[in-house]
Amino acid sequence: MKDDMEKLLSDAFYAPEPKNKQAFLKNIRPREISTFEMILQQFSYIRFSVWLYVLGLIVVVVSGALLQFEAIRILFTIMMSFTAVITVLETRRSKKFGMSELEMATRYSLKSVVIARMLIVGMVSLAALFISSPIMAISFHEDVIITTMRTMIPYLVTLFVSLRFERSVLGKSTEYGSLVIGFAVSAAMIFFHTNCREIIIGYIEMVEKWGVFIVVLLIALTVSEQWKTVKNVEEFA
Amino acid sequence: MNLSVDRLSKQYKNKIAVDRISFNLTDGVTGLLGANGAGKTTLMRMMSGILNPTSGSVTADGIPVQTEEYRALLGYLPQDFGYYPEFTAREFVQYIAALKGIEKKKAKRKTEELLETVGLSDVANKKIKTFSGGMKQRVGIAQALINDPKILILDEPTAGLDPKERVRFRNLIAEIGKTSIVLFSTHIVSDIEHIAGNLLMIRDGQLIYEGKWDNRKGDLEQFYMEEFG
Repeated sequence: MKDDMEKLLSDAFYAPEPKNKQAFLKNIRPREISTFEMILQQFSYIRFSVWLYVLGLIVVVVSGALLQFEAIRILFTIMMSFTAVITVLETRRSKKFGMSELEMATRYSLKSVVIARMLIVGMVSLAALFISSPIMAISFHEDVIITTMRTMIPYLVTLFVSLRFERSVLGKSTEYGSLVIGFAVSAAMIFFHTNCREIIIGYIEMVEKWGVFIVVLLIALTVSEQWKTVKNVEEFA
Repeated sequence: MNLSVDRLSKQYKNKIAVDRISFNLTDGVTGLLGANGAGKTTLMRMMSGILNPTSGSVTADGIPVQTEEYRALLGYLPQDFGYYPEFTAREFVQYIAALKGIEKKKAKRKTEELLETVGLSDVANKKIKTFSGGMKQRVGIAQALINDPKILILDEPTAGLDPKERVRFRNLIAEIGKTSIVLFSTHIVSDIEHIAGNLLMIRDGQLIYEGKWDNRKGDLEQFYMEEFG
């Protein structure tokens, strides 16, 4: 009975075909989207391998520290340097895969996309550092701040050098230049760690005395390089 | 809507790619004809806000090309475009939808609709890297339409499409042109003849013809061959 009634009603009062519906819909202004929402959107487009690497870093470093595995101290620094490499590689993904022209023509500028990616990977890297460092420091009976700074300095150096390199003529034509830089920084750290203990001791003493100053200086230099990279990203032809 | 291009120029060192071009476009399909290197892509890039002009301006109802407001109205298909290797057709279109600020629910619905329209719904979950050139081009067309653009700029959209796909594409563009400004570049004169109400021709960065093609002037293909051949 109800169905019959519905049919009778719809037959009697049929809805007219919409006129100019598309034209009307196109005139509705798109809603505003906050920066936070945009960053959240980009979160889901960060490669799975990035999350896996950072998670692996935390698991390896925390397990190694809890087991008092001596080599984990140098491994932690090396792994952190490679998170810097990952951050830089994330910034050049658009260009590498030929997506920049499309991304530049969307509502957000490509600059915002790159800033968001840098911010996400950078924050995740720092989160890994701040989770792992205290555990490492406590396990090896060291000062938390000194351990954090000691690991952060090679990370910031790798980030700064890689960003600078990527903007150079050679960097633009070399796909994995920052990866080479990551390997070079890691090789240097392993070399000093195994062959030049006095340099490592000198480095630790320097961090104890000037660590805060060096970290602040490196952060300032890195932020400046990041800004230049972002400005550079929309330079087309 | 009125899209206004005013004395637009682009100079690269000692080469002028686009030379003081001015025109106005309203709703409808406009074809852009020109030989290789005539400045079509440069002009379209400037109209899409991805390339800064040396001088001149592009505005849509007074909204400058550099603004987010303009880009919200825009759909753009570049001549060559890439894709992230992990993307499926569906993910690619949804990614562009996200960058265009479309709500997730609406983006999903619209993506399905457009993939159906371009005949890719059965391969929506397949990676783009497995697609043929024509299929990639159709994904590109779908992403350009995801935000129901008021201004649609398509650089060589029919390149790589087979004759059947080209006919389907022409019909789609003609339909969109009823409520939007559509500018598309091509080398294929018959594409223009079939759907473009308006025509722009450029040679060496300069506009040499603007307006409807009047058949009394003769055959468009003949004219094209004489000018650019």
